[in-house]
Amino acid sequence: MVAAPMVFIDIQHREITIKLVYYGPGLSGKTTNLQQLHRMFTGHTQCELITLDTRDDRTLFFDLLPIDCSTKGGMQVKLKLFTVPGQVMHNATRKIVLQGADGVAFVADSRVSETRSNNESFANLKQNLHGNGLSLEDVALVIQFNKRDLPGIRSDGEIARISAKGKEPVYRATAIEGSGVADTFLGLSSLSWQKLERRYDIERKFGVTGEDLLGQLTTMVYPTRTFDGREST
Amino acid sequence: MTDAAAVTDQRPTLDQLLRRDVLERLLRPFLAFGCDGLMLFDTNGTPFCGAMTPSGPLTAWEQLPPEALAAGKGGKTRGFGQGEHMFEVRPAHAGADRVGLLVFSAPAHSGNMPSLALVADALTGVVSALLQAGFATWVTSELHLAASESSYQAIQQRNAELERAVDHLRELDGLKSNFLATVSHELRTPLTAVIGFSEMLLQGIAGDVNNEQREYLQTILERAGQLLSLITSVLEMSHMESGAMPLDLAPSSLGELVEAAISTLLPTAQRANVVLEHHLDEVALPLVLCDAEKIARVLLNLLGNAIKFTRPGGRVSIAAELAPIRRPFKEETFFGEEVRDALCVVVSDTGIGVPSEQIARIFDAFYQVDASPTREHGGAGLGLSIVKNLVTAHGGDIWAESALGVGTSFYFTLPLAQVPC
Repeated sequence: MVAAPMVFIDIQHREITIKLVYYGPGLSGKTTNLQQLHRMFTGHTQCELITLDTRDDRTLFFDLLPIDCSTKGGMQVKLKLFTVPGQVMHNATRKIVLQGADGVAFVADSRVSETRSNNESFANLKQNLHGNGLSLEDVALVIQFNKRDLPGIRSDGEIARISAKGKEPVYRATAIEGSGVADTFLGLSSLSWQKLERRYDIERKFGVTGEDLLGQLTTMVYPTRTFDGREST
Repeated sequence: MTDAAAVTDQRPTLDQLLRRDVLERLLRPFLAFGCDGLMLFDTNGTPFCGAMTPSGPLTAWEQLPPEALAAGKGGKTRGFGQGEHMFEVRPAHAGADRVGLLVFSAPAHSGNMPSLALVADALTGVVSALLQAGFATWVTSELHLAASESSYQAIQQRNAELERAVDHLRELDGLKSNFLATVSHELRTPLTAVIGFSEMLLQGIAGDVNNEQREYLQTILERAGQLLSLITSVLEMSHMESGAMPLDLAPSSLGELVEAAISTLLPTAQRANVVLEHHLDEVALPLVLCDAEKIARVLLNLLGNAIKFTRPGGRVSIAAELAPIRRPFKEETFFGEEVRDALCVVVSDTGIGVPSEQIARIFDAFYQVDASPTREHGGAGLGLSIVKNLVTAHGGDIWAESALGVGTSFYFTLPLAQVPC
């Protein structure tokens, strides 16, 4: 049986729910990404960051940030952002959180010394997607090289070489300072929407356009920027 | 059963069922239609939330007329007039329980007011629906909590049992290591005497020995030597397991250690008709941080093992290169190469090989690939286990790859004396 990403369309309540998962090795900054997004979205949408059971600042189950967006067609689009626990021992939780994901942001640690953790976690992502009946091609995947402020990181040139190996969009970030977080999120939302649009023809069926959704999300995270990247006056 | 009872015995508070701002938003517009007070009281008579005009009569339970209080206690629907005011009282339910009392009031001669009873019924219906929804959510979350609490307790109990079992096993393991250390030591003392006196006899100190006696003495000496090395291994192993293995770390040249090991084993290799070679002088290798004596033992053990399992005419070789300190992760390389902060030494042979299902266990103590009573090769199965302990004590990693009938390669890594920038 081939499983497809599970965008959840509730016709009765006119809601589309998209599930986005932040994946990556332990301590790479997944929760920090969500915390920064939560900060950006405060005041724009009623979203609360739900953090379940952390110990020593480590995620044990998952974090969830729901973001609501009303689109022109009258449909409500809900984005649910999850993080997974990165530590190797929590694989069962990771696999469950990954179920039905429409998009995945892989948060890698830029430090050269963390190469192995990144590789192992990336292999684990593929394995868990496979375990859920999915493959990397089925979900929208973006990669974030986080912790750009630390010493001993891969250079921009090396990241360019790594990103040339795959077709996934690659972002650089310092999540703790908030830089690169919004771009990663918008890139992930955009790519996930494109995948879903191609698969389910949402624009024709429900009148929700990607421009509208992405435009709204962009305004929320960059109050002075339009969707096509121009700075508004 | 007790958990379930505990859940049903609890009563949600109004705060857990209903948001005050939602209720207030619902009730406030009715002030414009002639009502002067709309209030939800809890079962103790404390006002929960509502809307009223400044002159309204519903600020506190005690202000209510006795009829309203009586109706509230009885949980009945009542409507009555009191002086200048009309009151309507409606009980509010969540699940099967009465959780509060809704009281509506309006001046007796309110012109544009259709009927206070009608307004009260309609609003009570809406509030009940809200309370009911809140109640469903509360029950669900309570059940989840109860379930997770009971699983948490079960896990705690299990963990405590496991901890006790592990402690017990640790104690037994400690006793075993102690026993081995003592017995080995006690065995070694008389054995040293056997070896010493055989040597003295061979040297003719106690008089001449004839050829036959010399042959017998040689056999005694050889076998006693084997026994001594076995006992030394057991003793070493038990010391390692009890954590008593000090390392004398210093920057060392791997090339020199390999040269020394090869010159020691060359006679053995020649006797077995196996070619023993190294490729270490082909590239300049950085110094490694190790206890030279311990790593010499690792090399002797791995090379000796390789010679033992290689048939005449075969080849044993040793090489080294810069590599990451942990065994390479070959499944995924998207994020690039790991830092090469170690020297990886590989000892390869063209021997009989190890079946793939056994390769993971060859480093276990006392494990023998060929455990049959008629096995061709001797040994207690401690050599590789000791090697692994020595390598991991240095912070290195050790693993093996093998193909049956083709040969086996043992890899181990050692940290560099100076970490590359």
